[in-house]
Amino acid sequence: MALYFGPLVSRRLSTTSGKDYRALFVIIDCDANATYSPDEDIQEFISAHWGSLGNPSSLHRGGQRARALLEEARSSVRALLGTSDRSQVVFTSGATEANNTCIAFGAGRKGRLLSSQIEHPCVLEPLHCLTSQGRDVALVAPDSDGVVTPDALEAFLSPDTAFVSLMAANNEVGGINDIEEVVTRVRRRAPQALIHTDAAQLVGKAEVSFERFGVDLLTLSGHKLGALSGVGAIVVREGVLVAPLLRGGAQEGKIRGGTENVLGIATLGAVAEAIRWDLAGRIEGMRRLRDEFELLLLKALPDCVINASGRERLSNTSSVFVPGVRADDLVVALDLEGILISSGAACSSGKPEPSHVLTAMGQDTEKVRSTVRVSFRAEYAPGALERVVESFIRVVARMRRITTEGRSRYD
Amino acid sequence: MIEIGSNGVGAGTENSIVVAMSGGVDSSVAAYLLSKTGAPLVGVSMQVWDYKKNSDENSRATCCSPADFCDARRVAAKLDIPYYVVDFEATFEREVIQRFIDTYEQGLTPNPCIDCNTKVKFRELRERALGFGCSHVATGHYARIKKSHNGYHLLRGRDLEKDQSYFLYTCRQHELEHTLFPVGDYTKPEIRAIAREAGLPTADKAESQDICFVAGSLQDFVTKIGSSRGRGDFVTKQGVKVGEHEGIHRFTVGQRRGLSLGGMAEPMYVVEIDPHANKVVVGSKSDLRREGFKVREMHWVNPDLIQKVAAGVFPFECEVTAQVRSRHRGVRARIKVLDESACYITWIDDWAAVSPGQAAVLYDLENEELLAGGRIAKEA
Repeated sequence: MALYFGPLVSRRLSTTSGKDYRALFVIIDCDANATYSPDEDIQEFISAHWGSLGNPSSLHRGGQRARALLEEARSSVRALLGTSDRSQVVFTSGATEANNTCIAFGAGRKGRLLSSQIEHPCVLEPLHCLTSQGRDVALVAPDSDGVVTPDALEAFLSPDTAFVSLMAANNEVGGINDIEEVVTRVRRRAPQALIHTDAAQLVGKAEVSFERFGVDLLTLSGHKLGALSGVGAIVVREGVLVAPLLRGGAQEGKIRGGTENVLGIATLGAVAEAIRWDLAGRIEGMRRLRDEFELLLLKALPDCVINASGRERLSNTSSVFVPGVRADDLVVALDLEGILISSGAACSSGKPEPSHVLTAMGQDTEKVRSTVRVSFRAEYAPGALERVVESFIRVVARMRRITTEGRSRYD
Repeated sequence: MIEIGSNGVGAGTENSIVVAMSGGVDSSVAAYLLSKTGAPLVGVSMQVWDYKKNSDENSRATCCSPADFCDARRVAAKLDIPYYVVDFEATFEREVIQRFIDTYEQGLTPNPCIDCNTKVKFRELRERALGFGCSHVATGHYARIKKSHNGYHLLRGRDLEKDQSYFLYTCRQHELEHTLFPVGDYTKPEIRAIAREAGLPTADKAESQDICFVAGSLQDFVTKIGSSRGRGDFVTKQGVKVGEHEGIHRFTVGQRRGLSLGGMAEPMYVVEIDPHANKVVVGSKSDLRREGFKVREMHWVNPDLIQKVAAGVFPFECEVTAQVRSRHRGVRARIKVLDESACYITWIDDWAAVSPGQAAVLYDLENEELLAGGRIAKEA
């Protein structure tokens, strides 16, 4: 099945509020690390399969059709991750469930649990919970670029280390960790340890090979790739007998009870397939946008700082410190311009909290408060990038001018 | 594809409006009325206080709690306007909470709503609105703004029961120019009726209380949040000890309830608070009467008065209606303007007890237009 990933741009003429300000309102989504929202092809894909699906565990043909979709998706995910047929791919309700499952499984072993300070909350929170239950949990600090180096991690390794969980790439800053090297060191110093990597952000933005990484468990998220949200997966090395977090039926090789989200999983399979056929082009498209954005931005606002710019990092992610501007306000102002970015990670509460990643990198409150994340999709309509840069520069200049004027007016 | 609809079209451009939405019915209707005009709107809820951190019972205080923001979000969705929760906690803590506590510590009566309007709503919110590209700020206050040949005039809300102009006396001309009070022309029952008719989910919500950040008892709050004051004496004007109190922050001048002083010949009122000696002076109602009192930190609101003060010829006198508490109707008084920041007020016929630290707000003789306001000073 061929999927075309078109530009994410919505053109719409406002008609609701009358004649006052009919305007062409174009949304440019530069928040792909929060959600890589599904393209129209996915909508078509869903329509094509709508109504024909039974419970994949059913014997009848409705069940068979659903089961076939599931297995096709499984093989697409395998192919994307270069996974051998002997490894298992287990679908979950998302990366949060996938990571919780891996951590609960790792915590079933005796010994130290090792992770990093810059993990996603769905890794950190289960670990905090284990700490409060008296488990020995160590969290490695990143360097100032938000990268957890193999040396830093190795310092925490001991023969009794039972479980290591390290994200493949950071969602906020984009720093990429050397998982292959980390695995080598862990195998040498703690041969008993089970190794997990949360690859939710790396998949689709770099070539990811489960076999080359050499980890025991790899987790990913569907909606970070362009599938529907509510789908994730765990890749499990052969011989690793993961205990289910959700107990119920015998679905997903008895590792995950509960009827599968068939359509959601099928969309994950579809995007995995599409990405696999053009991964290099996709990465190149993202990188070009990111580099061009940074070049133009720094030219106009030379006091901005791109985090981790000298390091290997996600091809689509710019973490930008904008001195003198509140990141949250910049996000709002750009949203009103039709440009979607974020300050740190997407937060579910609605109220922005300071980024634990930037804090762990040793950045002061002012930097944390003034850092935004721009994360690109692979493709946009012509002129989109220019508009992003133009708006960004204009809004920053406006906010700085207002702060200065406010001071002179009141002080 | 992301479909955002008409939501936000035109917002962030000149003449677009940030509407402060607390999740209550008044600001919901304010947003609704503005949306009917077709003006580009941006809904903002101001996160001023961390209720989770600061409340034992995790209770729903009065407004601006997370549950209220859910209501605001629903109204914004109904009106199809963009909506954001914006963080003001640092400013609120510094300019409102800290000042609130300090004022109590000095034996004065604070008015946090005025500080919040001055520093948070009409200064920081405005600046942030400008940053969003919005030229105007609208709130659900019951007050009115009128433009004349020489500037902007602040009037009481049409519903005198709900009028909130008293809390707005620090508004400057440039702020009034870019402020909208859409509910000021309506009565509260009318606002509720509009909300119901429009199907706003907040139509039948209960009224919010006076102080938004206090969930339980005000005195307990001050005690908990940082008052170091301990017990002290109740004394008469003559200095005779008549009882003991549990901290001066529990009292305000003019207060009658909660003194728990038995066996006195007539009802006792707090007539003075002495923070240095940690004493609360009590007396009869007539002991509260002061012929005149000084007001400091004056803000001049009426354009003619602003010009007159700017001319710098002091002192000058005029007759006004003076309101010395939020729930006071105002009585006639003569003011002598001493300089641009202070004036002296004398009662003409009727009088009212004044609490140092509270706002004295001056209206015209019709008791409709707000002219100026300041803080009642401790000294005579």
